[in-house]
Amino acid sequence: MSNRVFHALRAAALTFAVALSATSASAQNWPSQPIKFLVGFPAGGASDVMARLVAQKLGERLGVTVVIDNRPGAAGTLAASLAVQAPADGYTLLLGSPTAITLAPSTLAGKITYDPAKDLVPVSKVAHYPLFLVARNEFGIKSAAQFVAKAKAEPGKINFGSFGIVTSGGLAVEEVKIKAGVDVLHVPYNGSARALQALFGGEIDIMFDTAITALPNMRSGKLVGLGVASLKRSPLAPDMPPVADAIPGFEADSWNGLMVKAGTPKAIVDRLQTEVAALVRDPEVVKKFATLGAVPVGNNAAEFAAFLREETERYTKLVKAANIKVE
Amino acid sequence: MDIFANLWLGLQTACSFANLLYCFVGVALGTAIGVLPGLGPVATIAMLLPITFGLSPDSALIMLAGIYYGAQYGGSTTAILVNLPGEASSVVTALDGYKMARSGEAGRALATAAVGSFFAGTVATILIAVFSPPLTAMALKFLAPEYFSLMVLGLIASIILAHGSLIRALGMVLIGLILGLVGTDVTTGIMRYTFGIPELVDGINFVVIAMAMFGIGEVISNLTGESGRVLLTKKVTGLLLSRDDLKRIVGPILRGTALGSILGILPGGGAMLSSFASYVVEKKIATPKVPFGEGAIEGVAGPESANNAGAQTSFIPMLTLGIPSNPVMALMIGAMIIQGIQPGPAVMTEQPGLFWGLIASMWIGNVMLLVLNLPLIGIWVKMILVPYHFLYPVILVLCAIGVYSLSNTTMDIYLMALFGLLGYVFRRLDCEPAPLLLGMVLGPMMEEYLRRALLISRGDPTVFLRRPISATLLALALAGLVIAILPTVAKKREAAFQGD
Repeated sequence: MSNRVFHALRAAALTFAVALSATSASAQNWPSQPIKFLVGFPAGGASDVMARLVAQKLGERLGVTVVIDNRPGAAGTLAASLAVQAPADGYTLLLGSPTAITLAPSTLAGKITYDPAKDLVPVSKVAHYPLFLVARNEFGIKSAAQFVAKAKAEPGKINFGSFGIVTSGGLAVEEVKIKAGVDVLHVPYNGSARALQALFGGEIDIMFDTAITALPNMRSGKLVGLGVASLKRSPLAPDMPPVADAIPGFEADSWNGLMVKAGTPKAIVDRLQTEVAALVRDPEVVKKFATLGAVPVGNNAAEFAAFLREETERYTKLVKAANIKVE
Repeated sequence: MDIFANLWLGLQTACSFANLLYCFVGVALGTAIGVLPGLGPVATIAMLLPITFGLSPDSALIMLAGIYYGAQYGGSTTAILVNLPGEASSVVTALDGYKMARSGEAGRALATAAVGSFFAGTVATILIAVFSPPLTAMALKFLAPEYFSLMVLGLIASIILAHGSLIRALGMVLIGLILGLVGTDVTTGIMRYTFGIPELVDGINFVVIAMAMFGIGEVISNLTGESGRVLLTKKVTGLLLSRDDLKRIVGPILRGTALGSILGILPGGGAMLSSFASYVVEKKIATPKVPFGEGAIEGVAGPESANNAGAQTSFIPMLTLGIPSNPVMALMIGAMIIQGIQPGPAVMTEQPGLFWGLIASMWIGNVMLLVLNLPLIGIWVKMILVPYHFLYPVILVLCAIGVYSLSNTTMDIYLMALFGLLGYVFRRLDCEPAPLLLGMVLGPMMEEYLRRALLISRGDPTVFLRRPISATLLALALAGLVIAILPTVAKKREAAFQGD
């Protein structure tokens, strides 16, 4: 315990040190001082817990302390703009998320002070969070195909909840409408907890949720799992068929990835990528990720960049088609 | 019965040496941060989360829970002593508690808060142990229309809350509603009144305004209004409760506990309303020696019991469904995940030691808090004897640190400074900040629930009247409005007859 306290105190002291020192360490002796890891979510959520685990393992591998800096607000865009303002020296990392990176260019056009594609460099996608389609028990459907059939038979009658209108979950609802050609009522909530509560209470009939809350409720029989929103089955719940079986080509997930400011020396980006790719294979990390509803990825920078481009494009089209305006 | 076997198991877990220690650490820490203005349980638990990596799951949760309800105890201390409510729930405590402190009765006010909180905590713990599943089922009956009607009732109550002029209270509620509009609209995702400032996208934090309006405003008026004043109060009398006091607070404590326990279960902002609701009820039922708003002991006893009961029962949705009812509960869920426990309905059956241990520890923690807090009262009371020119810089610095810790942004400190000035202006105009704060808290929720209710009813407004709970709440709101208006009308007539 005292050791833990000591570490926490040291981490706090180092955060301070990072803030004070205005160094320009060269790429050769990087890292020679503590690294700041910007997280755009409040402490305690799945993304934050994931980032802390990555920070700890990354620090061990690099031989320096990686300090989490929680800068919640404005859907993660506050943290992203701070990362863009920091020097491109590899001492400030960013945990990228859909809302701040792939969604922001279309939903927050003109509202953000950075261009995710130009001002930030992708390092590696750390994890993806599959979304699960769940329905309340009394709703009486057992599969995604039954949902599509019911939605077609009763247009506009089904209440489809989401954990936020401009989040991966909310846009997944819009994508269902388009790809399956059905008319459902999209009811957005402020966060997964509120939506889940409404699902239990029968205010909504169906929703996409992350594994962390969806799986325990599916397993205890409080909710019916209809499928996973990825093209293939997920290792987190191998018994769940892909929603794509009923709605061809349908795919929706959430992710977290490591990014740095554009202009960061390539040697540093490569080193970070190598370490991330290695650390997500650590058995302890794999196990902890599973309890967070996350699947480790650790792809290379080019793959991650291609993924970001495709996602940004897909969302741009979707936001336009769904006519979501954020003014 | 099963319940006794479960509680026995819980007591065994909670009474292990390590867990007693962490429970004590939690409540002591909670009391400390509660006393420091602005530094709330959310920031503290967030900071301590990494430390819990190394603890066993039961010790970790017991400590974090201790911090939470410990802070509820401590939060009332600053509200009473220096008019600084750190949380929505202690805003009401400041109304009469601070007046008591200024007339030298801080000890009685603090003792009342401690006793009320202890009783409420005990009752709420029993409720959690015995009735969690049925209470959860009840809470789930509350959907958008019910929440909307509850918020309407809350807003009406906020007008009754004010003891000055009705028009001024109404004006303050409206300003609060306007402040509450700032931020992103949940239903459409559209940003309102953010002026291109990214820090405003999530709205203005309630704590910032509460600290500014009450705390900073108070500091300014203390420094300007009565420039000769060096002490907040010259004499301190009655550290302990008299027999008459005890008789006076029994009713408010019982009613407050009942109200708080029920409202605390509702995950959509019910706990926040509990202390307000209790104050309004006491204002109508109790017959205090001193009028409400002037230092009535009943106005401290009821709300303090209600807020502690609400804080405890807000654990119910988290424990039975894995649904967090407030940011602290979300952090507790985070702590469970770190420990590899999947929060959700299975916790009760798969981790009975943890579940019942946590519940048993709540009661033990409440005993510890009572033992810890009663002797501390003597020390706190001396604090307001410190000359004000030493006290106020400390208050200002602590407020700034506390507000910064909310989301690590300096923007909140600027906002606090700005609204602090405004708070002083309102004070000079005899406008009370409490209705403004309630408007700011309830407005956005009321709007969200209204629009969601109408969305789901496909635009049919009769949904609020067709659902029995919602209709009842609206009827109560209407009755409350009539009660609020009648005395004013009566007074005017009286004044007219006196020809004054």
